[in-house]
Parts: sequence; C-alpha cells; structure tokens
Amino acid sequence: MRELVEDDCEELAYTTLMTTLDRLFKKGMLTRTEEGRAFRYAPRLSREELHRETAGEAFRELLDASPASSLPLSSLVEVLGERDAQLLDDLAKLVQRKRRELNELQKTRQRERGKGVE
Amino acid sequence: MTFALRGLVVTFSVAVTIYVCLSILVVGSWRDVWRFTKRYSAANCADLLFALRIAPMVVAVAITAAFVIPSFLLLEPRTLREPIGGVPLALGLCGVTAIIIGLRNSVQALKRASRMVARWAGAAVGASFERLDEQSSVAVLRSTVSPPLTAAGILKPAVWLSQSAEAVLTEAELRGALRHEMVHVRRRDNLRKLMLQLVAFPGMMALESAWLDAAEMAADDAAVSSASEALDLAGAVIKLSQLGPLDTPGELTTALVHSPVESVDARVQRLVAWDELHKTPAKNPASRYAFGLAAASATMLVLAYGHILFAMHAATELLMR
Repeated sequence: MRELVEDDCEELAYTTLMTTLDRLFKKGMLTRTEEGRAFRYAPRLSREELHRETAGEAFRELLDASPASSLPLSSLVEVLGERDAQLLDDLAKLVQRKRRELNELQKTRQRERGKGVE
Repeated sequence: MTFALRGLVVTFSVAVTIYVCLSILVVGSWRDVWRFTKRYSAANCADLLFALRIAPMVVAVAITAAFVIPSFLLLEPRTLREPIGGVPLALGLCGVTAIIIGLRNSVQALKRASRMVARWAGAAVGASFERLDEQSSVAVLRSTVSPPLTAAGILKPAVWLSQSAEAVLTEAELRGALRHEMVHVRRRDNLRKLMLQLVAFPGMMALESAWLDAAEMAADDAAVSSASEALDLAGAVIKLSQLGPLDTPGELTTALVHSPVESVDARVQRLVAWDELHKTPAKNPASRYAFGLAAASATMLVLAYGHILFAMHAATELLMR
C-alpha cells in the first residue's frame, strides 16, 4: 500500500487505494499477507493467466447464451482465421521491407567499394 | 518366491521409483532450466530440453543396470525364499505396464506414420536427391497430397514436397526450406520424437512443445548463413503458412510450418532480425565442464562401486519388505 502511494499512484488518495485493493482482494483478484500492521498485496494471477481466465469465462457465457452452440464456435474459428491471415500478411510486408533495406545496404557498400578502388 | 522373480520385481520397482521421482522433478523445474538456457543457441536449448525430457528414463535405466541388477545378483542369497511386500509388487507391475504402454504408443505411432507416408507415396510425382553430408544424400519426393514440406521416416528419412509448395516458392526460398528440413534429418528429430513416445509421463506436454519450438529454431539457424538467406527462409515459412490452414505437426514427422501461427510469427521475427552476430559461435553451456565432470564422476564411481552395491542392496532389501 505504502509502495503504491510512494511510487505509482501519487495522485490518488490513500483511502481510495485502500478501498480498491480491498475490493480486488474480496473479488479474489489479489492475495494479501500480513506484514506487521500492514498488508502486502500481490496479484493472484499473472497477466497471461488473467487473459486466459477472462477469455474462457467470455466463451463459456457465449456458448451458454446461444441456442446452437456450434454458431459461436464457428464465428470464433472465422475470427481466428482472419487474424492469422492478417498476421501472415503483416509478416510478409515486414520481410519485403527488410529485403529492400538489405538490397539498399548492399548497393551502398558496392558504391563505397567502387569509390575506394577509384 | 523364486530368485528370478524377486530379481524382476526389485529391478522394475526400483526403476519405476527413480523414473517417477525424476519425472516429477523435471515437470516442476524444466521452465527454470529453459529460462536459463535461452541465452544460448537454439540448438543447445533444443538439445538440453530433449535431454531433460528423456533424462528420467535414461537415469532410471542406467542406475538399474549399473547398480540394482549387479547388487541383486552378487549379494542376494539364491537359496533364500523371501516374501515380497505389496508395495514393491505394485511398483514392479507399474514399471512393466509403463514399458508396455510406451512400446504400444511407439508401435502405433510408427504404423500411423507409415500409413501416412504410403498415402503420400501413392500420389508421388517425382523425386530428386539433396546432399546431406560428404557420404550421404536424402531423397526429396514430390507428391500431390503431402503437406507443403515435411521430413518423414526414422531409419531412412525422406523430405516430402507438395506440388503447390514447389509452385509458390522462389528457387532461393525452396533451397532455404530444403536446408531447414535437411537439418531436421541430420539432427534425427523424428527418431527423437519416437523416443518421446516410449517415455510417456503426464505433465510433459509443455516441455515437449518447448522442445519442438526450439528444434524448429535450431533448424532455422543451421539452415541460413547470411541475412539474405534468412529472409529467403522467412519468406518460405510465410508463403507455406498462407497455403492453407496450419496443421499440428504430424506424428514422427517434422514440417517447415505448423500451427499455431504464433510460432510462425516468432520464427519469422527471429529470421528477420538475423545478422552476422548469429554466426559468432554461441556459448555451449555444457561442453566446458562436461568432460571434467564426466571423468571425475566415472573415477568416483569406479572407486566406490563396491560400497555403492552394498548400499543399493540394503536399500532394495528395505524396499522389498
């Protein structure tokens, strides 16, 4: 708590921070251990684990809400396919750009070598 | 209980106990070792992950063969009719079952891989040979139904190339992609995959997946020797990924591209960032100390072998009761 006030959350009131941390602890997002008269809070999950849990919860809700459970799944597959295609296109552009840079560099080196010979 | 049967129970129960304990240790600690080895070359990283994966079985077999069996044969009275406790009997049965399951998994994987290759061979349209090293070469077979680029086979591996892959790649990209598969053949990655089938243990999937990623990166590194070649290989990886939905790598085969697309992303980013620094030999974590350590361990083992046999026999006696 004291570390937060001193480092990252200087502009927030002490009581606001305390209430927020307490609420996050009660929701199970944080763990806390007693250190003297104070508490040390720590995240219960890593960022990756939190993303996975949130996504899993959202998918479960989506599947429960849909009468035909295959519909959300097929949409999800479609979205993932589009995302993968976009990622591959971006990578292809990256390789092309890098190749152009490499060609430029080689031409520059050749010119410099030519000047050196002259 | 006869001497031979007691010997078998002792052998299998000790082996399975060591195997399970070491496997649990590996499952719990491999990530720390992996983080530490990330500073070394991908090939070293892949070798270390593979060594970690099979270490429980290798160590269990080595200890059993070097100490447990000799201590039993030399120190156990043959005439004694000693009863065997329920725990060693159950452990021994677990050991036999684990071996049977491992063998069954391997045979089934071999059969499935053979059927798959036979299907590709049925649609083969041509073949050529690529030089592997000074003495040997590897067949490159073209097929209409094979995955874009795959190395398959254990004893006599071949590289399979689909017609669509050949059509879409430039000559330089195809050369880079073939060199990548040749590295898998040289490193005997398919044989390593078969060995993994023998040593099944729950919780090892993540380690195996990390090894597969490291093996792909090791093959990428060994297949390129300049920034231009790295870009050619990156181009091949992207083009083959775009040919169709990415599949998981087939059993006992290595493919240039496979799911998930994130692994393609990581490999392409590495290849794009290739520079001359990659050619400076990476530090080998083991070579510096391995020889000295092995020599010292061997000397100590030879000197203390008698004592170790007595201690091992005492331990197995405790286990049997």
